[in-house]
Amino acid sequence: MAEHLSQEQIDRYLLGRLEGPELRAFEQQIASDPLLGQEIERQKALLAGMQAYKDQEILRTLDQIHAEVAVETQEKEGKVIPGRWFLRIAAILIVLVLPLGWYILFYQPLHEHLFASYFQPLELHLGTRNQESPVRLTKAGQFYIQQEWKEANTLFEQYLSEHPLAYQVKLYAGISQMGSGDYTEAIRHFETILERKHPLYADQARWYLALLYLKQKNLSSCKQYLKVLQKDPQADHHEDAKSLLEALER
Amino acid sequence: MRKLSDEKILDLIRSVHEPDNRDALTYLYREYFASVQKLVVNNNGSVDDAKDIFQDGMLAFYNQVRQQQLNLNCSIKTYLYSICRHQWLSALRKRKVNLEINDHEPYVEKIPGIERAIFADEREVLIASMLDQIGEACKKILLYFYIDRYSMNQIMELMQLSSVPVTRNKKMHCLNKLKKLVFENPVYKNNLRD
Repeated sequence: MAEHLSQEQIDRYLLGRLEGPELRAFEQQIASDPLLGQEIERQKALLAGMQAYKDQEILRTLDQIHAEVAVETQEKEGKVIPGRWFLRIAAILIVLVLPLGWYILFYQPLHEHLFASYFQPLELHLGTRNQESPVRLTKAGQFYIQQEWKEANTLFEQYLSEHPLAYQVKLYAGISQMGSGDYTEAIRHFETILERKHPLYADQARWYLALLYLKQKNLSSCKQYLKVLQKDPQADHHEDAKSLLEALER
Repeated sequence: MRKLSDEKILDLIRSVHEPDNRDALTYLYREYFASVQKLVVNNNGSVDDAKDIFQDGMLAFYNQVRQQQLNLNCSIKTYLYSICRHQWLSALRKRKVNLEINDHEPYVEKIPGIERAIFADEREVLIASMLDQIGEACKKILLYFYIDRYSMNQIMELMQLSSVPVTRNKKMHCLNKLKKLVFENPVYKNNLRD
């Protein structure tokens, strides 16, 4: 093999970065130099092995995602309780306890009243089929739906300790902590999602942070998050943020 | 949840930050798995077949984007559906069952570059296992360079190395380490060498 031939040239060839005359010249060199040909074959084998390694990594990630992501058909099969139940139950409760509600509201401070009106746990979207951690996540989801916040949160946290990048689970963990009254931990989860500028969950995290600050009567922080949502018509909770801000201004 | 444009999804997949890659995969899973599941289940397949076909399709798509081998002439939705449709047709062919597919989505017939076998052969598995023996830093550098196709500059930053020449030397050292481990391995020498 020609001594002057650098690994850099071999890399460029293997990664398909040689073109035209340069590529042809290199191919001629390979054809006329058996040692070079052998070295290229060896390195091609290494690349194939590296690709196989990476593929396995991605497939493992996809398996994890499978456990976290909502699958419409699963919902239809009834494996995940559709989140619309929250709305139905909430509607029934509103009708049933309306007289009592009026009485309580009469004595409730404004921020408590607004918090109670606007806080709704996010509709649950977690898949149930997974090879690695199906049971824990499914159980956490069941506790979440039943609003058994502490139990849900324990299981979400266990899952997060193994899958720290599962931001969707982080969101549900934060909401569970809100439900159980652990506001400091809830804020930590939502802020992590915001720091990541997560494209899917940042709006949700912002909305729940606003509600947390409302609950704690920190109205300036609350409004700060609401205003971001209000400014962006595409944002999740845009309309909610607008109306809550209006209510606060009144 | 907020809708992401195809452009944004491709940016997230191409990003050097792994959480971005994962976000993109999560989004695609949520948006498009149901459609592929419908395709497979309505055409002689099971829910588990659908999962395998979708994950193989996602892997092929992901690699094409990361390695800049994708020329997208349609939406990601149509493209992913087409890859999975193609994979499912191949699976049906192997099972020698009816090849008439009832579609519920538009698709493209020709998808270049997905013929590569998804399952590694014995030699690839052996080499992949050796990667875990050269140390975390070495493994990362080689994967960044050969699979993710990052520049030396990007690798220098990701690995927090002091300069490009240092990075280049480190990569060379890691490659030699892997070569030694693989090509001097008796299993490889006796059974797997071409």
